[in-house]
Amino acid sequence: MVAEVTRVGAHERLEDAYGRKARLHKGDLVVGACGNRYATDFYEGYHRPGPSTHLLTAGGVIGTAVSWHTNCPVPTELEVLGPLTGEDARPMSLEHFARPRPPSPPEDVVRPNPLALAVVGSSMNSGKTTTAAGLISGWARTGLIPGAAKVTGSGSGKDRWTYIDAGARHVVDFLDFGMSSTFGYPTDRLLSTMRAMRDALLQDGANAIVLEIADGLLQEETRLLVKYLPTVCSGTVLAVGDALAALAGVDLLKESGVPVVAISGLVTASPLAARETAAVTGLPVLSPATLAAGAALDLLTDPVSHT
Amino acid sequence: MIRVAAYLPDGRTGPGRLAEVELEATVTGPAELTLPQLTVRDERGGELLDPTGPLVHDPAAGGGPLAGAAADQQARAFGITNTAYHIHRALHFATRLLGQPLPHLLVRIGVHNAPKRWGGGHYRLPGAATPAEPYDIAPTGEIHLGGGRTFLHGPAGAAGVAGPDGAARYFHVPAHNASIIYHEVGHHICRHTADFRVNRSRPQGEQHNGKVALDEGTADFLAAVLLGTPDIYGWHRGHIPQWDPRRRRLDPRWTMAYLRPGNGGQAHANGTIWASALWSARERVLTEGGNPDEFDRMLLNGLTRLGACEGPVAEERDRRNRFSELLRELASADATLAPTLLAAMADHGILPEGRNADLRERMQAGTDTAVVT
Repeated sequence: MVAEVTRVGAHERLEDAYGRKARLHKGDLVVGACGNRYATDFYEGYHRPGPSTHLLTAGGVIGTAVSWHTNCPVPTELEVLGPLTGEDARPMSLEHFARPRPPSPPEDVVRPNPLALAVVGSSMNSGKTTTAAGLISGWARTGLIPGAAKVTGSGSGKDRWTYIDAGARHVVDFLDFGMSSTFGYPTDRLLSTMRAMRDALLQDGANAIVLEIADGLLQEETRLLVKYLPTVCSGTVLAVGDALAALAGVDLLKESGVPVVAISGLVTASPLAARETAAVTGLPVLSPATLAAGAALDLLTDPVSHT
Repeated sequence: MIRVAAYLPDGRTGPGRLAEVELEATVTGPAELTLPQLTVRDERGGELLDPTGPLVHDPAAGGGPLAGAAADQQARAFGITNTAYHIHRALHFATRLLGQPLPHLLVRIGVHNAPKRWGGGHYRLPGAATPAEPYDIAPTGEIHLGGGRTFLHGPAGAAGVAGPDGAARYFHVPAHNASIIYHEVGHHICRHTADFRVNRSRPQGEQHNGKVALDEGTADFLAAVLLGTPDIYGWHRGHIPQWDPRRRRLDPRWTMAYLRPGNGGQAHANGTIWASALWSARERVLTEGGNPDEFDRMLLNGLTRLGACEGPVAEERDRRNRFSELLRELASADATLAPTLLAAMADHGILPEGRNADLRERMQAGTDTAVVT
């Protein structure tokens, strides 16, 4: 979609094709992708056809915000000029640029389980991406080849750059598979994409993989996806902000049969809260720095010992 | 005597040649082996050693968390016997040249390994240390080896497990790496000869665990002698260019012009200057038809001479920190080798007079470092 900035609000900048955040001015023409957003600390927004809309992420997801956090300024307003078209004059879509899904192995081929962990969180901003970066950094420092996937979320380069900066050799996200934002997509599509992401990273050459699932465990798509985590990875690291969230999160994951190998995230910033969390969950509580210093390697061992 | 497996130094880049050797050892615990001068224990526990049988275990490419429990057990058991072999060899070397045994040495494997991982080693005495020690450290000194934290990647055919692309992968555990083991024994030798920190004058529980450049350099030189190569750490630091100080390869390029002043953790890099100079001198002695034992004996006797003076602690610490002082003691220890020693040392900017900073300034004044590098 091509739109004109009519009022600069919360998003004062927009990522360019290289990831640089360019400052926006009233009257600028921008190109974005239609999509929804589910962000408890930011916006709830949906793609709604019409002449006026909003910039929902700094990555260029365009939709209409219908509610937002009280700490969040009003969204940047856009006037829709029309679809961005290709040489054939047809509207362009991220689907046109989606990466082909890796071929499935023949039924009779038994492949060893890849070294893969998922990172899920109790909520937005619970420290999931920082935790994923800790795992990546820890694996990279051991000499493994880390791959990282952002399975769900809203299009933005921030997490991709964080993974790369931590040492990820290969990165994929839902944008690579044709989605500007995963909020509202059917579970089947998200599940097949999650598997495709893992397989794509393996195909690219990664030998230790982290799959980050956005938002909190109670978010609808996240809740549905986590049930299938045992089929794509060997364990899960739960990022939380406090001990109560850890306890509830571990219970939720156990109900789904998901092995939790460690707790991390914001709670690790407080030694007292970390001790409290370890006491109530009986799980190792590892800060991103500790993961980076070597603990990440031990989380790749046999998940049976962690469950 | 017990038959054990160990890597024998072969002068090549890698862990060495896998072989079986005889050790006068006794299994004193499920993960503990004791010899007359040393005890090696894997602090992570487990039934690793069978007291009734030979201790010929497979290195299992270092084992590690991704190898599976059985392979990791094998690798840890091999780590105990490999460490015992190399410690015994180094202590025997020192005993033979000094004419008397060094105090008993305890080696703990797999320490400081949780929740973080540690892939290094250190020598510890009772006293303040970072990280803090959870053990009561033996007054005669201990070596601690981490449980490993990195994979080494080698070409097809190198030590390790072959990956899908044919390249070899080895989980680098210090107990499998003779260079780390020898370096730490070098500190034990220094503690009981030169005693660079004048610890003999301190209360037994308040020993200084810091290492000066001469300590690090002497430990590196002894490792090079025992390994038979100046590229001491070529196996696990092979990815670092040889001209990079972190490689710590002994080389004529390292002169006092590269001395980094202050106490900012530069002891290893500064030590490489001393170790390189010793290596140059030893090579020159060998080229002239000399006996390597004579050179090594001169070094150990020189270290003993340096640590024999009993002046005020502060003055002694300062004196024992000087390259020139140790050089003078070495020259005094063997008048026959002294001319060759002094000439080789001078090429590295190490002279028998002057403070370390003076030697650095003198060398820098006469060196275009850009050309040397």
